[in-house]
Amino acid sequence: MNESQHPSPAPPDQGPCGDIEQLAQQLQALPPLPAPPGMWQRVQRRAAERREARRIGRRRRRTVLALAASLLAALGTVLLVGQGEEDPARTPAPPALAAGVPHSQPGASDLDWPQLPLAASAEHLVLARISSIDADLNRQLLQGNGARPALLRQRATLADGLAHIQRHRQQLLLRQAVY
Amino acid sequence: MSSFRAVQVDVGVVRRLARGERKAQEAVYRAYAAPVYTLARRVLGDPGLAEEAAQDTFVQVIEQAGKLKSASALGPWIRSIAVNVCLMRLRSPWQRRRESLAEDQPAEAPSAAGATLDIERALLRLSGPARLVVWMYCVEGYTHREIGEALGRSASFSKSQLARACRALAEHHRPQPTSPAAPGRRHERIPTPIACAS
Repeated sequence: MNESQHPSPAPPDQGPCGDIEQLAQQLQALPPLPAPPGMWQRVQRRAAERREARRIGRRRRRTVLALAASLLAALGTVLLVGQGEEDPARTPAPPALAAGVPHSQPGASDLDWPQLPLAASAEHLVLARISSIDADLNRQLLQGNGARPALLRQRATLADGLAHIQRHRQQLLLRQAVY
Repeated sequence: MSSFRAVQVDVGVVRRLARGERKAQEAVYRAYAAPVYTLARRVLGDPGLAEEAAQDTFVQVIEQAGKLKSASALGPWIRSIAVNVCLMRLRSPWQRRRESLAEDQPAEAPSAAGATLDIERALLRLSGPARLVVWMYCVEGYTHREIGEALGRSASFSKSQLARACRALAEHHRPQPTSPAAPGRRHERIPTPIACAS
C-alpha cells in the first residue's frame, strides 16, 4: 500500500507525552538552585584531606619499596658471599673423617639451620679422635718406639677435616646472624 | 538550555585553575556551583545527596584540572564530571534501596501552587535513572547516543527511557478523579529496567 492509498495520514510523532519539546521547555524554565552555604569550605577541606591521604599512601609505598630493596640487597649479598666461599657441607669429607661424622655430611646438603648442632657434634667427634691418636702417639714415644707414619697421616687428615668443620660452623653462625 | 552554557569564565582563570591556584579554583566554583548543584538536585532529588555529589564534582575538578585541554571545554567538562558523579550515586546499592523505600511513601496530590512546582514534583516521581535521562536530554542537550554512551547502553535505551518518563509525566499532569474510595493511593513509580549498565 503506497502513501496515497493510506486511509488517514499518520499523526505527527509528538512523542509519548504529547510533546517532548513542551516538557523540555518546562524543565528549562525551572529556576537554578543556589548551592548550600559553606559548600566551598567543605570542598576545600575534602580536597585537602584527599591530598593528604595520597601523600601518606605515596610515603607508605616508598617505605615498603625501600624495605623490599634492602631485603633483596641483603639476600643477594649473603648468596654472593656464600658462593664465593667453599661450602664444606657440599665438599666430600676425607674418608677418615667421613667415618667419624656419619650424620652431618648427608644432612648438610638438605638442611640449613639444623646443620649447626650437627657440625658441633662432628667437631667433637673429630676432636675426640685426634685426642685418641695423640694418646697413641704419646704412648709409642714413651715406649721408645718411633711415631708410626700411618697415625701421623691420619692425624693430619683429621686436623684438616676439623678446620673444614669449624669454618662451616662459622658460616652458619654468620647466616643466622644476618637473617 | 543548560545553565552550564550560560556561564563564562575567563581563559586566564582556566589556565590558573590548571596550575592549581586557589583563587582560580574558587572563581570556577563560584561560577559553576549553581549549575552543578541544580543538576545534582534535579537528578538525585535529595538535597543532602545533591550537595555530596556537587562536592565530589568540585573535588574532582580541582584534582584533575591539569588534564583540561582547552579553556572553552571547561563547562562541558565540569558537566560531564557532574553527570558521572550523579550516575555513580544512582548506581550505588544504598541509593537503590533508598528509592525502593521511597516507592512506599504515599503520593502527593498535584500542586495547585503552579506549574513549576508541579513539574518538579512530577520529575521527583520518576526513578533516578529516568530523571537522569530526562534531564540530560531535555535540559543539558545531550543526544540519545551520548546518553546511551554515558550510561553504558545504546541510544535506543535512552529513547525508551525518555518515552516512558514522558508517559509518566503526562499521567501526572492528567487531572485525576477525586475518589473517596482511594484516598491513600500510592504513586506509581516508573518501572526501572535500568540496571544502568556496569
